[in-house]
Amino acid sequence: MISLSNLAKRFGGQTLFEGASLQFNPGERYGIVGANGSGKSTLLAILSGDEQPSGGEISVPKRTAFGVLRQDHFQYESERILDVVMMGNAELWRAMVEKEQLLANADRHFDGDRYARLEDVILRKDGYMLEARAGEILEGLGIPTQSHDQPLSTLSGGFKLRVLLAQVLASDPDVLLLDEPTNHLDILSIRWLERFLEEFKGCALVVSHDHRFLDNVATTIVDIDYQTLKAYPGNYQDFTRAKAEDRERREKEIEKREKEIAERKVFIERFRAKASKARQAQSKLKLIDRIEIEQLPQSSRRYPRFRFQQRRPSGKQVLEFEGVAKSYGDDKVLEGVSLAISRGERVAILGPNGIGKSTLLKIAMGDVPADAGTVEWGYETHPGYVAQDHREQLDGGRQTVESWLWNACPAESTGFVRGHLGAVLFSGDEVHKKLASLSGGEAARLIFARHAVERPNVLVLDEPTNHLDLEAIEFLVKGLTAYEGTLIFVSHDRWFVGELASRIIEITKNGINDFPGTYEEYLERCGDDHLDSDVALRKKRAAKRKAKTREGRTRGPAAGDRRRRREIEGRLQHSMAELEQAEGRVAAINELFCDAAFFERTPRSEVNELEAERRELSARIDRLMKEWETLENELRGLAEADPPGSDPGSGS
Amino acid sequence: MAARASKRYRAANEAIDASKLYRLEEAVDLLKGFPALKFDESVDLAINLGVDPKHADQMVRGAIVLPHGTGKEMRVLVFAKGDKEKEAQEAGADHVGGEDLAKKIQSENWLEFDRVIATPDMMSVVGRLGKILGPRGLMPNPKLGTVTMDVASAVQEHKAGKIEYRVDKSGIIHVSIGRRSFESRQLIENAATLIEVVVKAKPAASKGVYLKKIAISTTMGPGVRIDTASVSSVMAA
Repeated sequence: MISLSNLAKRFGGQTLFEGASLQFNPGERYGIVGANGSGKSTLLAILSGDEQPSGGEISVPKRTAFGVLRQDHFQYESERILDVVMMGNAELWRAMVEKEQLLANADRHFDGDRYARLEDVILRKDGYMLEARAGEILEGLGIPTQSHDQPLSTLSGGFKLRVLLAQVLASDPDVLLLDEPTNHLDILSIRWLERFLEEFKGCALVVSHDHRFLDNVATTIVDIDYQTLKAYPGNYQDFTRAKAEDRERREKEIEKREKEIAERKVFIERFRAKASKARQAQSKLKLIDRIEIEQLPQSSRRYPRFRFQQRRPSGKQVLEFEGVAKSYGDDKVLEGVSLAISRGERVAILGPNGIGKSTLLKIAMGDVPADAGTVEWGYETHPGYVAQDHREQLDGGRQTVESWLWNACPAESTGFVRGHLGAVLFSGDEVHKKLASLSGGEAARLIFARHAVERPNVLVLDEPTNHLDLEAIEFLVKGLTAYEGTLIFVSHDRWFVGELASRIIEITKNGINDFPGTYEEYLERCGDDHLDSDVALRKKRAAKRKAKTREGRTRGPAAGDRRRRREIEGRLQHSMAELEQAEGRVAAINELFCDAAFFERTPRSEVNELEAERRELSARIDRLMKEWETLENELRGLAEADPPGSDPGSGS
Repeated sequence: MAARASKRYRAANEAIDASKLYRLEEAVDLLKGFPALKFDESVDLAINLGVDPKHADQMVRGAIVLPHGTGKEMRVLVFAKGDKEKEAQEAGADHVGGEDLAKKIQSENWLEFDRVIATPDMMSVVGRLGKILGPRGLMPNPKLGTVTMDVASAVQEHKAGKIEYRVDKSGIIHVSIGRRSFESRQLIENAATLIEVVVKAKPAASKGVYLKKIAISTTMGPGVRIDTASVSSVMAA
C-alpha cells in the first residue's frame, strides 16, 4: 500500500497540485486523468522516485518493485527484442550479463565467489526461465516467435511500444506505472492489456486518454484538477457523473449563501435608520461578515471547440477503390481492395497494426502510390487529411502557429484567424509558438483548426485521438458529429469509433469485411470475441487444422467450384443492389428534368452538376450490366458442371 | 476431474490420521508399513520454511552428504583437462571431458548425468551450457562445491550421495533422503542430518517460525506430517 500525505509539486511559480492525501492499494487499478500539463506524468515520476515532490510525504512499503512503462521508443534500437524485454528485470539482467562476462574470461581468471553470488541472484529470480517468460509475454502481445531475435529497430511504432510494455511486465512488479499505454496499440492489444490488468494482483496506476479503456480497467479514477488530487471510486463514467454532481453541489451551496447574504442586506437597508431595529440590523451586518463564501478554484481543464463545416456538399459518390493492392518489399499489405464510399457516410477502418489501414488512407490521399488498382475521388470532393504523424503536415517548422493558419486563409482578418486559434486553445502569446516546438496534442489541435478554416467536405483522419486529451477527444467527437460532410477514419479508440461510425470496414489478412452499421451493432453481429486475440488464435489454428484434414481427403475440383459459386452469388447480389440504386437515382434526375419549371428556378451550375451525375451513373449502369452478364454466364456454367444436390457437405 | 486414487493409495491414506502430527520415528515406521509397490520407492522429505526466497538475504541453499546416502546411483560428469581429467577418472567420475562433452550436450541434448562438476578454468566452456544446465539445476556452483580444483574429493562426495537442497519459490525444500528398502534407523538419521543442516542455515533475516511444516512421503504414497518439535530430540540424539 502506497500512501501520499499532503503531497505537493510546484515548478517555479506554477503549482501542479498540493495538499494531496491518497492511498493506493494492491489489487486496485487507478486511472489518472487531468488536463494536458496538469501533472499526471509528474505524479508517476514522483511515485517511481524519478522526481522529488516539493512538499509532503510518500510512504512506500520496503522492497516494492515498480514497473514503469517508458515512452522513449528509441532507447533500445539495436538491441535484440528478447534482450530488451529481459532488461525489464534490471537486477537479474545485470547479474546475467556480468556472469556471461565472468565466464568468458574464466580460462584466464575465475572469481568463484562473485560467480556464486551472481548464480544465487539468477536462481532466486528464476533467471534460467527468464527468456522463456519474456518470449511468452511477447507472444501474448502479438509479437511472433520468429521476430524475437531481431533487433528492436525492425519493428514499427506500435509493436515497439508492445515490447516496452513486455519489458515492464517481465520485471514482475508489485506496482505498475503506465503512462498512456494504449497510444499506438491496436484494439486487439488494448483488449489484451485490459485483460492483463484485470488479472494483475498488484496496484496499477494508468494515465490514459482512452475512455473505453478507463471504463473497462479503472476501479478508481484519480482526478488532477483544482490543483489537487481527488479519488473517485468507480470507472470513468462513474467519475464524470460524480465530478459533475460534486461541482453542482458546491455551486448550489455558494448560491444558497449568496442568497442568504442578499436577504440580510435587504433587511439591513430597510431597518438601519429605524431606531428600534438598528441593533438587529447591526447584528445582521456582523453575521454577513461571518458567512464564508467558498471560492471555487479555477479548473485546469480546457475545452477546445472544434467546428467543421463543408464548403459545399460533394457529389453522391465520394471515393471509390477498385482492386487496390500494395506491398512493401515482400510484405503484402493490401490486395484487391474494392470499396465505394458515399456522401455523408462515417466510415471507420479497423484492423490490427501493420495490416495496411494507414496505407489505404495514404493511397487515397495520393501520398503513397498503389501497386495496382485505381482510386477515384467523386465529383466536387475536397478532402481534408489528418496524418498519424503530424510532423508530415506541419511543414516549415520555423513558421508560427498564427502564420501557418493564416496561409490557409490569406484573405481573412486577424480576428478571424485568432478566433479559430482561440477555439483550439491557442491564446495570447501561444499563437507565436514555432511549429517545431508544438507538442503532439497542440499540433493535432492546430491541424483541426486548419480544417475548420479550409472547410473540406470529406475528412480523412488517421488515428486522430492519439495525442489528444480526454476533453479534446470528447469535443472532437461533438464537432465531428455535427459535421455534415463525409468522414473516413482509422482509430483504435473504441469509444470514439462507437460514437461516430455509421459503417465499419475491418481489414483482415483475408480481405475486408464491410459492415453497414454502428460499432455496437458490428460487435453484436460479429461478437466481441472476434477481437479477442486468444480466440482469434484458436480460430486460426482450428482453420489450419481443418484445411489440413481437408487437403488430406484429396480435395476434388468440385469444392473449389462451390466456393467460386458462392462468391459469384455474393457479387451478383451486390451488383444488383448497386444497379437498383443507380437506376433509381437516374429516374429521379430524369423526373426533375421533365419538370419545365425546374430549369427556371434552378441555377445553371446545379443543372450541370446533375447532368454530370446522370452521365456518370449511366456509364456505371452499363458497366454493372456487363459485369452482371458475365457473372450470370459463369454461374450457369458452374451449375451445369456441378449441380447443387451433389454437395457432400449437404448431408446427403 | 481429478483422477481417483488407487486402492493401494487409499489403504495407505486410511492408516494416517490427517489431524495428527507424528514423531519422526513414528512417521518412518508408518511409511514402511504402507502396501508395497513393484519398485523400490524413494523416500522424500519436504520442509516448509518461514522464509521469503524472493529476498536475497532469505535464501536457503547448500549441499550435504547424507550419512547413509540416497540409495540412488549418481552419474557424475566432470569438465576438466590435463591432470585434473585423470584425477576425476580415477575418482570414479562417469564422464570426463571438455569441449567434446559440451558440444555433445549442445548438439545432441545429451543429459545422461545427475551432477556436473567443473574446474574453474573450464567454466568458460560450461558457461555456454547455461541455458541447458541452468533450468535443470545442474550448473556447477562454488557454493555447492561443484566448481573446485579438488576434483577427486568432489567426485567421491557426490558419488557417495552428496545432495543439494534449495528452497523453491514457495519456501519449501524438497529432498530425497533414501529408499524404502533402507532401515528405519537409516532414514531417520538421514532426515535428522538434513533437518539439522537446514536449521543451521537459517538466515538472519528470517522472522517468526522457521521450521513451519515437515512432511515425509514415498514416491507414490501419501504424505505424513511430522511434529517439528519432535525433530529436535532426534537431532540431539
